Amino acid sequence: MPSRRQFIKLGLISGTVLGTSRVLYGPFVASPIKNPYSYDFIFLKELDLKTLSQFAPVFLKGSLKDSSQVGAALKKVDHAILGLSQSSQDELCQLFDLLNLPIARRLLLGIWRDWEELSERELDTVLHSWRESSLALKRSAYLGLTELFCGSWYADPSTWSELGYEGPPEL
Amino acid sequence: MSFADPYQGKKWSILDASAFTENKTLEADIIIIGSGSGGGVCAEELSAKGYRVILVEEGPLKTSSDFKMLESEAYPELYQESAARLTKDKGIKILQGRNVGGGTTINWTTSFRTPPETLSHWRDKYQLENFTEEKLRRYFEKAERRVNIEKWQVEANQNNLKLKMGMEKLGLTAGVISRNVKDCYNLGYCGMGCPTNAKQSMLVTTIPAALENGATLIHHLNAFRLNFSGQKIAGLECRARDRRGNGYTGITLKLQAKHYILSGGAIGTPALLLRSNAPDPYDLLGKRTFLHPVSLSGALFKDPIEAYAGAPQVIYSDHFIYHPSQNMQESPGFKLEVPPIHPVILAGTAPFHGLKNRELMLNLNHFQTIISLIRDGFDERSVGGQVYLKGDGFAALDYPISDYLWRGIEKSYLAMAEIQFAAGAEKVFPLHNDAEFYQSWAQAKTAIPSLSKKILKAKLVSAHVMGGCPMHNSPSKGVLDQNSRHHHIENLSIIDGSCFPTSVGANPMQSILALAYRQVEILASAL
Ligand SMILES: Cc1cc2nc3c(=O)[nH]c(=O)nc-3n(C[C@H](O)[C@H](O)[C@H](O)COP(=O)(O)OP(=O)(O)OC[C@H]3O[C@@H](n4cnc5c(N)ncnc54)[C@H](O)[C@@H]3O)c2cc1C
Ligand code: SF4
Repeated sequence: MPSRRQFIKLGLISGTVLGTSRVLYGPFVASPIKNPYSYDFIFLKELDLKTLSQFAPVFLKGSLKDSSQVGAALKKVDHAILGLSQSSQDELCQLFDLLNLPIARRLLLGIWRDWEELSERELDTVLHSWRESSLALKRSAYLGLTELFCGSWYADPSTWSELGYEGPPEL
Repeated sequence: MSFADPYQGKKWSILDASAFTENKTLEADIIIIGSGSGGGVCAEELSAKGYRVILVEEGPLKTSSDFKMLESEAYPELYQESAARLTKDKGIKILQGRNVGGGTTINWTTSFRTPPETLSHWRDKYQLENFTEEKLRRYFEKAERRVNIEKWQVEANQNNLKLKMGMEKLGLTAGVISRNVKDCYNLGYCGMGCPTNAKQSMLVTTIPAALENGATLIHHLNAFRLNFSGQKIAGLECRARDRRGNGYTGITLKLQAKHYILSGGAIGTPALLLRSNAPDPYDLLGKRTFLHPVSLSGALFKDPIEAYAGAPQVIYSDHFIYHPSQNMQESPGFKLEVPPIHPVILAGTAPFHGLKNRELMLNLNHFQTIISLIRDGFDERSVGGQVYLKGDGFAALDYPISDYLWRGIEKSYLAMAEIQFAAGAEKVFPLHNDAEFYQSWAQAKTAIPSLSKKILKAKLVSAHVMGGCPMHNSPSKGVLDQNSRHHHIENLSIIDGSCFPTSVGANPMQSILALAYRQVEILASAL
C-alpha cells in the first residue's frame, strides 16, 4: 500500500515544513498588513494575498470585470474566513502555507514554478486536476477554495442585479 | 412595515456573558444547556412549574429586528461554524444553529410527527416500548398547538411545484408539508431568521414564556465541563464567548443546580460529556450519530423558478422510503424535499469554478433543486458517525459513508433526475464533480451509475444531526433510559436530538419537541 505510506510521509513533511513557516512569517496578528489594495486584511498575510491574487481571476472568471476587482475579491475571502471556527482557520493557514512555500508546493502538489509564472489557463488546469484528483486532500482544497471565492463573491448585493435577483423583499 | 420584537422593552433576566468582566458563580434548581428544540420546551415547562431555571446558550441572542434576510449576516451569526462545519474527512457539510433558539431560529419550518415505521423499529430493536403512536399522540398534539403546526394552505413556489409535477407525471405520490408558522408572509428567508416572527421558533414561543416565568437566559456562554462527585454532577464550568462568537474572553462561570439537562444538539451534547470524562462503561457515547445525509440534484427549467422566494419546503414525497416497490434490503430509503436556493449557497455549493460557476449563477432564477434525505441508522450497514474532540476540546463528527449508503445516494440521483425531467426540466445536474448537465433522462440514466462513489466528489450536506446519546432501557446498549435519564449519572437528563437511537426518517424538529414534552413531564413528576 504505497499510497498510505506516502500519506503518512506527506503528513510529516507538511507538519514540519508548515509548522515552521507560520513562525517565519510571523504569528497571527489582527493588525493590518502591507498590501497593494485599498483594504485592510485581518486573516490573510502578505504571501497569502500574493498567491491568492493569482487564483482570484481564475475562480471568478467572467465575474471579475478587471484586475482592479482582485482586491475586493480577496477582501471578501478574508472576511468569510473570519467567521470560521478556529480549527478551520488553522487548516486554511496550513493550506495557504502549502500554496505559498515553494518546497511544500513542489513536494505536495508537484508544482515547480511560482504561481506568478503560470498563465490563467495553466492555473485553471491545476484547479481541474485538484478537482479530479484521487487525493481527497486536493479535492477538499479545490472545493474549499471554490466555496470561499465564489460563495463570498455573491454575498455582496452589488453582484445580484446581473443574476436577476432583486435581493430580500422590502418589508 | 414593522414587526413587534418580542424581546424589546422587556424586563427579563437575560445576561450576555461576552460582556462579563469578572468570573461568577450562579445557582439554580435546574440548568439547561442549549436553547434549541429540546432546551426551549424544557425551559418553558419547568419554569412554569416554579423551578428556578438557567438556560445556557453559547450562541448570540438575535431577534426579529436583527434579521435582515442576508446570507452574509445569517451564516456567521446564527450557524455553527458559519454554516461551514464539516465531518472529519470533509465529506459532508453540517448545518446547525448556534443562537438563542438553536436550529429552530433558522430552520425551514417543515414539521412531521415521528413516522410510525421509526417508532416500531425503536420498540423492536431498542426496547423503547412506550414509544407508540398512541402514547405519544398527546405530546405530538401539544407540540402542534404550541408552535402552531398546520398543513400549509398557500400555493407552493415553483421550486416545490416541480417536485409535485414530476411525481404526478410518473404516477407517484407527493404530499403537502405542515409548517410551524402563524401569519407567514411566504417570504422564503426562514434560513436567515424570520423577520416577521411568523415562524414559531423557540426564540418567539417557549423561550419568551420561560423568561416571563422568571427563568434566566445566559447567552454567549459555552458549557465547557461538568464536574462529578460520585454518581452526581457537582457543578458546571462555563467559558464566556467573545462578541464575535469564535473565541473566548477568558471569563469563566461556575453554575450549580440540583438537576442538569443537556440540550446542546447531537454534536454539542455528546461533546460536552466527552470533555467531562463522563462515565461511559459500554463505550456508547457519541457513537451512532446520524445525519440524514442529503444528496442534491439541480435542474434548469425554461420557466422561472425563483427558489429563493416563497415558503421553502411545502412538498415532499416518502415514495422512496416506504413504498413496497423499493428494495430496502439493498440500500437505504430516502425522503424527497426541496431546499431554498440563495446566491451564496448556490455559488458555494456548485462543484465548479470560473465560467461554469458564473453561468450557473446567471441561471439562478431558473435553477430548481431536489434533495434526498437518506434514512440512516436502520440497518447494520449504516452505523452512523462518532462525535470526537479536536485538540482544543472543540466538537467534531467523524461520519464515514458505507457502500450501503452510497447505493442509496446513487439511487437518489436517479430518482431525482427522472422526476425533474418528468416535470419538464431542460437539463439536470446531480451535484457531483463527475456529473454534467444531462440533456435527457436517457442520458442521465446511463451516466449516473458511473459517478464515483467518493466523498468530495459527491456534494453531501446535512441539516439534521441526531443520536449519539441513545435511549435504551439496558445500560449496556444505551446512554439514557427511555425517559432520557442518564444511566450512570443521577441528576442528568439529555433532551434533544441526541436521544434518538437511529435517525428519525423525517425532519426531526417535531420529534424533538414531542420527546421533550414527554421527558420533561416525567422528570418534573420525579423531581
Ligand atoms: C438550515 C436548517 C434547516 C432546518 N430545517 C428543518 C425543518 O424544516 N424541519 C425540521 O424538523 N428540522 C429542520 N432542521 C433541523 C432542526 O432545526 C434541528 O434538528 C433541531 O433544532 C435540533 O434540536 P436540538 O434541541 O437537538 O438542538 P439545536 O436546535 O441544534 O440547539 C442546540 C443549541 O445548543 C447550543 N449549544 C451546543 N453546545 C453548547 C454548549 N456546550 N454550551 C452552550 N450551548 C451549546 C447551540 O449553540 C444550539 O443553539 C433544520 C436545521 C437547519 C440548520
Ligand atoms: S416564509 Fe414565513 S416563516 Fe419563513 S421567513 Fe418568511 S415570513 Fe418567516
